[in-house]
Amino acid sequence: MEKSDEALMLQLQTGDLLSFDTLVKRWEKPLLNYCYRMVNDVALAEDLRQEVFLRIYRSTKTYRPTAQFSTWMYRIATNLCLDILAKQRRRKETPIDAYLESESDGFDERLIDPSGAPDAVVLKKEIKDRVRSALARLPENQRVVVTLRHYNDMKFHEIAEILECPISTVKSRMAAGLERLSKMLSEQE
Amino acid sequence: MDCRFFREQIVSESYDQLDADAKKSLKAHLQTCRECEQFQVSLNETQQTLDQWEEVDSPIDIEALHDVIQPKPLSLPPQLPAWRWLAWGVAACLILTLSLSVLAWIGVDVKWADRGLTLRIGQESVPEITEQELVRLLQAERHATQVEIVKQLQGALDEFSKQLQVHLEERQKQADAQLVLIYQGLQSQRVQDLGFIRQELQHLAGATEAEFLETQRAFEFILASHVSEIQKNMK
Repeated sequence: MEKSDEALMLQLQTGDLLSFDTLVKRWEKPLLNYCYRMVNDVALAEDLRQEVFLRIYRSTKTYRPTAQFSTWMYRIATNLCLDILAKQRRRKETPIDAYLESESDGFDERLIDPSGAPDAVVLKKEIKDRVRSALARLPENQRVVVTLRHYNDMKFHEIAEILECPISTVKSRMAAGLERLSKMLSEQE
Repeated sequence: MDCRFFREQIVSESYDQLDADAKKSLKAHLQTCRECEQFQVSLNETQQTLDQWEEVDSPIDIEALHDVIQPKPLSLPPQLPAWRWLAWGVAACLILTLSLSVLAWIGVDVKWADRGLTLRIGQESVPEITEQELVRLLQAERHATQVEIVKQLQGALDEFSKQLQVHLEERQKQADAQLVLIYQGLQSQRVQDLGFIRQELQHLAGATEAEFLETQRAFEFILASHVSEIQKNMK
């Protein structure tokens, strides 16, 4: 039987580094995808993921299993992502569309099914790019909610806990976000 | 309730986070609201499109992460073996001895004095000194000696005063203790004397009373004999 995240954290408090490795292996993929969907840059998402794990490790001594580990972890990740996005906005760095263009090569090749027919592959990539583009254009507060609920399977009350806001706010942001996404995706077709 | 509320309910239902009563209420609304029904359809399509975004996978380098969280200690240069240290020490001593020998041979005098290491080359010439200068130096030395003696005496006197003070304090304490003992002795003697005087007084009172009674009986006898003699004479 697999140990819970909270049990692994308590083990880590006793100095067992293997439990940290288990946590990393368990959460590396969901965390990377969450950061990627938030910042729309794989390399940056990888750095953010590492920073999240570092912060988790550094907070081991003060960790108390009062809330779910995943909630705590996503709160750290969300704050980091929002900080990075805010800094990018302030510095007026490469606009988010530039990422969409620059990332159409390279990393995306890994996602393409080599067994698929050429048309299907192109279509799949096109849809994926549309989704990425639409999600990147969502306001950050809606993007967080949509990503956590739709892709990371977090419940509304957990998202409310992560964002430290009422559930009603989360639900209204989710509805507004999906409505906006729906419009953007239909416009792109 | 307005459509905005129901659209939130539609979203909740799509993620299976709506209770039975709310579902019933939503179902009833959808039967009457064409726009919300369309929203539900488009929402399902949007969610299906969102699912097309496959997840990326880039495993983290655990070793690199370990290096960041627990930096490895800096590697120190290999330590020299003990015999190498010994060889270096012997070599250093030899060089020092050789250097001092060379310095002595060329007439350089190296001394460790109060003011540190001194170097003197060749013989030191003794300067001429006058009688007056000698007297002045002797007087200065004498004065310095006197000052030193005075300082020593002063110190000894201070020490003696301290010891005397301590001795006097001890004597004072002893005298106080003796006075207390004497006072206690006198007090107890006084109590004893008072007890003795009380006993004597009681004894004296008893003897006086007995004597008084005897005298009274003698008077009564004399009186009785005089009365009987007077009565006899009258007869």
